[in-house]
Amino acid sequence: MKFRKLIIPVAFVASIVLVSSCSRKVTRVDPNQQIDLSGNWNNTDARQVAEEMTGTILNANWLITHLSENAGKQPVVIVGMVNNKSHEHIEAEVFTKEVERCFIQSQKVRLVQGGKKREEIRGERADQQTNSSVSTMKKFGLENGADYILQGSINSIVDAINRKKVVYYQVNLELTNIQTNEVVWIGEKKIAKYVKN
Amino acid sequence: MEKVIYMAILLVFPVMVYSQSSSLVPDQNPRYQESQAYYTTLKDSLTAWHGTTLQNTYKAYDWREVREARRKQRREWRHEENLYYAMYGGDNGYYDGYYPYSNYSYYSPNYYSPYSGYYRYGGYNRGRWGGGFHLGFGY
Repeated sequence: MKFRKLIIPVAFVASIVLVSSCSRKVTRVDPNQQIDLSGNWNNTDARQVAEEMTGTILNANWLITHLSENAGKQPVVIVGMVNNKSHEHIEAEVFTKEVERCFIQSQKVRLVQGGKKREEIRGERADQQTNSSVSTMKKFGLENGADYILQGSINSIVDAINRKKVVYYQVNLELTNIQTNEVVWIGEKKIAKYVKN
Repeated sequence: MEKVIYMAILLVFPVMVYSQSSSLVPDQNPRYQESQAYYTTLKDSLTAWHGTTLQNTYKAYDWREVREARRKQRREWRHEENLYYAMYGGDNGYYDGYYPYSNYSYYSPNYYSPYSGYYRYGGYNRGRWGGGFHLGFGY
């Protein structure tokens, strides 16, 4: 009888312990807050790269030179490939999109679509040739040709001993004149991390 | 007869060229028809995904998940082995590379256990290791 009285509270406490040990707590945090967990590439790194690139690309001399050489006509830029040569998965679109957004918001640089999105647009235009009304059908051969292409590379160096590790990242973005093949701007962001496990 | 054909070509060709050039709007690329012809062949595949989301995702490394998956697989392997001992007993010849339950490789990540869920923890004669073992609660 005594044992039966005891079994209910014991089971209750045991179930609480079990539930609390398995529960997961998730809280929303500020995207600008720096949270480093593993030492791998994270949102803080991507944000720092984006801030560096957007802060320098529109204030560089290439834009002034282009405007003066082309009677104030805005340059047209296409975003090309970013080559990730680092040891981690890094999505470059996180910071190239920031640069694109900065171009459009500033209204100093015009942007044209590239890659798969451009293919999709051309496919849609081809579809319109046979399905849309003549007044709304868009024509081929009238796209804006880009003046400059934005390309990039990500490199990393890892140095580790025992439980200590230093990771160095270098992100470069380059803007090249498509007509002359001249590199007109290079943006660079270096990030070094010391990780102790 | 040849003269007539030549005359016809001479007359028709300029008309074709003129009609094509006259259809160009200002600043339009004169070779736009090449692009148009190319994309006309691809338009169905290029527009089929309109309004959808391309799930071009990747699996982020999570050491906790990896550890859990490793444990799960180890449990499955052990379970298979014990089942085999229970049924046949003694040396199964497993280490000679022979395993009668499945055609799948033991080391394959896609290894599928046909017996998972059965006789998981005891309650069954487990042969050489832990024969007659039972797991249960009671008082």
